[in-house]
Order: sequence, then C-alpha cells, then structure tokens
Amino acid sequence: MPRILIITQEKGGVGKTIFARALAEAIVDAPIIEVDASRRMIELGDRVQYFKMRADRKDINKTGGKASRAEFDGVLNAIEKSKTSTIVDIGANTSLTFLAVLSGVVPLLVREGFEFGVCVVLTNEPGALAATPTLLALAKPWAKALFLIENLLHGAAIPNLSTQLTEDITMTSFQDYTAMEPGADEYLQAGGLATIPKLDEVKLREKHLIGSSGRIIEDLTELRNDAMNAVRPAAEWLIG
Amino acid sequence: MKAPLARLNARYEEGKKQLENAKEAVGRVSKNRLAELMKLPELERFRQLDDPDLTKPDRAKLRRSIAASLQHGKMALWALRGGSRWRQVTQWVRYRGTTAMTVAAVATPLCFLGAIAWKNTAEVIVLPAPIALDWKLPSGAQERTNLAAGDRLVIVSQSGNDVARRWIKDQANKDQGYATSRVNIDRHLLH
Repeated sequence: MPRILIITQEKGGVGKTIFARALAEAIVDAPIIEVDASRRMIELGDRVQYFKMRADRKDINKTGGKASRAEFDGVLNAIEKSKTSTIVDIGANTSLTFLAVLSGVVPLLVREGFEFGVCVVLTNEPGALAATPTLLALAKPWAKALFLIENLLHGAAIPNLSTQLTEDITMTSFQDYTAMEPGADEYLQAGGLATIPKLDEVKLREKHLIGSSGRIIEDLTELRNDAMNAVRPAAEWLIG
Repeated sequence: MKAPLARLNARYEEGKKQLENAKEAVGRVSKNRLAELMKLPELERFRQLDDPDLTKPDRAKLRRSIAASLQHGKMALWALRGGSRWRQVTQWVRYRGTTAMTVAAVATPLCFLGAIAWKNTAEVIVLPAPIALDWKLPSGAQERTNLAAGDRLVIVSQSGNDVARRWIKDQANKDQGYATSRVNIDRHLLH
C-alpha cells in the first residue's frame, strides 16, 4: 500500500525543498516527485522524477487555475504509478491548485490502496500564514496524516495563524539557519543535504581556512540533522 | 522492530554521530587556538576575543583569563587609591598642620595635668565609729592617732587602695608634706 507524502506551501522560499531533501535523507530508498519551475534536487539523480511547472502566478490567476491544472496530469500519473512510499515536493504558486486537483482524484487512488499525507511548511510571512489554513482545510478530508513544520526563519509563525490548529496535526519546528559560517550556504545550494556527509574537510581547507572549513561542516551537518528531525514524524508515517 | 523503521533509526543515528564528529573537529581547532592565545599578553588576548576559531566555551575561558588579569589590575588600582589617600593626609598636614600642632601642643599637657588632678582629688568622709590609724609621716616616722566617731577623714585612691591623708605643716619646711595611712573604707560611707 503506497503512501504518498506531499510537501506543500503556496508561498515560495519557506524551505519546502529542504524538507523534501531531509525526507530523502531519512528514507534513502523513497522516490521523489518534484514539481517546480526549475529542477532543484539534482544531487538525488534518478530518485527524482521532475515535472516542470511552466505556468507562473500571472497565468494561473488569469485562467482561474486552469493553466496549472493542465500541467498536473503528468504528476498524477506518476503518483498513480508509485509502487512504494513516495515524497512529492510541490513548488510555490501551485500548491493550492494541486491540492484542489488532487482532491478530485484521491477517492479513486484511495480505492486502489493509496494513502496520502500532507506536510505544510509554514513561516512567519503573510503569504504563508494566509495559505496554510486553506491548504490544511483542503487536505483534511482525505489526508491520513497532517504535518506542519514551522520554519523559524522569520520567527515564530504558529501564534500568528488565523485558525486554531487541531490535535490531529503533528507539528515540529526548524531553527533559523541564516547565520551559518560564510561559504556554507554555497555548498547547501550546490549539493543539498545529500552531499553534506560527503564533504571532505581537507579539500575544503584548500578554499577556506582550517577553522572555517570545520565550522562549515559543523553548521551544515547540524542543519541537515535538524531538518531530518523536523520531518521525522512524517518519515515514520511514510515508512509505516 | 520493522526493518524500514530500523533503517530509519540507523540513518538518524548516523546523522547524530556525524554531528558529534564535526563538533569534535571544531573543538580541536578551538582548543589549539586557545592554547596559542593564552600565551599572549592580556591586551592581545582581549583583541582576539572574537576569534572565529574559538568555540563558545573556549571564548569564555579566554574571557575569564582576561577577567583574572583585570582583577589583578583592580588591586593595583586599589593600592594606587591608597597612595592617593596618603597624599591627601600629607597635604592636609602640610596646609593645616601648624594649627593642628599648636592645638596638640596645648591640649596634651592640659590633658596630662587634668588626669593628675583628677587622680589626686580627695574625698572627705565622716567617721561613723572610732578608729585607730597608723600614719606614715613625711619624715618617714610612724605615728598612731585615735579618731572619734564624727571626725572627718580625707581619702584618696592610690593604686586601687584607699589611703587617708593629712597635711603636716612644718615651720622649718623640713618635714612638711602629707602623712598617709592605708584604710579600708566602705564606699557607701563616702560623702
């Protein structure tokens, strides 16, 4: 019985891909479906099935969502073909539309034995705060499990939500990692979380000083662990 | 334990171990740097307080080492303040010392005389009963006199003892002076 975990947030820049990557690190054999304007999880190679979202916000608004709905057919087909627990990372500006479209096909997929979980990533930003209750409400009728990751990048967000969160939502939080050692973010952007355990300190020293290279590895390893901890309840559900 | 969960837990354990290793590596660099910095004079150590190679605990150690030096400096400052107080005293003596010396020169003998006068001031008692006293005369001779009840006796205190005394007048001024006799007096009889 394949379980599908959808990582979602309408607002961009909240860290969805970091958590998708963290799930990929936690469950090494889980395939990933990435839906975004550009492919980001390159370091995961063949594990990732990428679907490009060509529609931008302007087109989606102009067509009442049709512009993005048309592009979800491939994603839905990929989900239907999943034989094992799968991570789905939905890019910014498409999450609301995707969940709405998915809601229409979920009953069919559930009959075939699929189970769905939804993980919403939240930051203390107006767009994310506004979209989160809607995303949770859309998923609630059919999601077997709901997760909310509060990314503290812009401070605590949950107290600023307009709706009360119910007990069936598993919540975790993720610290702000913007103040990492200079240079660390470059490695994160280039190699994601998967390359962090493979970073060679000796090679890093060619570019950075000994102290700095050690701190880059420490900061990135800590970020990777924290991200993995933030998704742990979702990971446990996904393999369950 | 189900195999997928065991694998998942193993992944988290690996991550934890990797972080421990990364922290140890940073800690080693920090320890070495701290050892170098501790050899420097305190001002140099102060300048290196924000050295990025130091971990928080090692930065705290460096800060404490500077604080210890400052404590030493504080004691020196305290001593300096002591010197300043001494200067204040000497300046006071210099500018107001003459007056003080004059006051001291006059007051000291006056106090001395006052103390002697107080010591030699006698008290007079009226004898409640007859008494026989052995007097030591200024000439050194002994003399016994019998005093009746109601007679007056002059008493002074000498070295904690009560001594009766009377003035012996000698026309030739040869053996003039006080005749004394040691007595035991009830203090409540003193008038």
